[in-house]
Amino acid sequence: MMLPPALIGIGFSKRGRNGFRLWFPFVLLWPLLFVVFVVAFAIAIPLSIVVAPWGYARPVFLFVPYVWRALSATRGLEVDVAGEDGGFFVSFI
Amino acid sequence: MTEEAKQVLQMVANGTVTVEEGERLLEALKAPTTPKADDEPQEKGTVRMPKYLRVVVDEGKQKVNVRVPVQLIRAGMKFTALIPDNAKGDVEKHLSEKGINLDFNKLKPEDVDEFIQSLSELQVDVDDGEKATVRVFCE
Repeated sequence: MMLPPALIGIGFSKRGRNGFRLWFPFVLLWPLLFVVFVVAFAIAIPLSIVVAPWGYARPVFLFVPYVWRALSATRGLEVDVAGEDGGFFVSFI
Repeated sequence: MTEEAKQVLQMVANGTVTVEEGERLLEALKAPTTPKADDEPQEKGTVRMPKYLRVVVDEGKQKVNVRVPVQLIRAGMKFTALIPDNAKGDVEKHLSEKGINLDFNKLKPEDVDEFIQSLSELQVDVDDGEKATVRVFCE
């Protein structure tokens, strides 16, 4: 099963100053996230039946699992930008 | 006698290699060509799936290092399935106006896998010598 990132790191640095890096334990939000997605999926099922005559059943039904998949796929994403005026750092672990 | 063995004997006769070297070459020719454990996947023709797409830009004082999981690219491409059938035509029309000819009906999961697999061979190195170095590769 694909799981969302457990840790999210965000960092900033400004010219001539020591920056900071904050590591947020995203794993603590997993239970809440799981509930939100289950509820959203539970809503999406009847909604997809309602919108089926207009041809939107498939996108509505698949939206929640696809968002979960995309969120889980962010594990390993890392952006590190350092310039003269400062820097920026984001990491999903 | 194989052609290679004849060539080795010819080299010994010409004095290009010594008798001992020739003997070693002949033994090497006789040795079975079993692949090493490390080479096995490549020998069998299986391509290693890349895990990350990496973009590294070094412009002196400015540096950019981006690591994108291939799974994220795959997940992003799957989002095309969310485009309603009646909207696909409009999207394709706008894309073709921008010079991108894409037929969503022809985009299949196998194509996505093939695209991801082909990324493993991707390597772009741009080095203008003075200003910046850009590297795009998979790892």
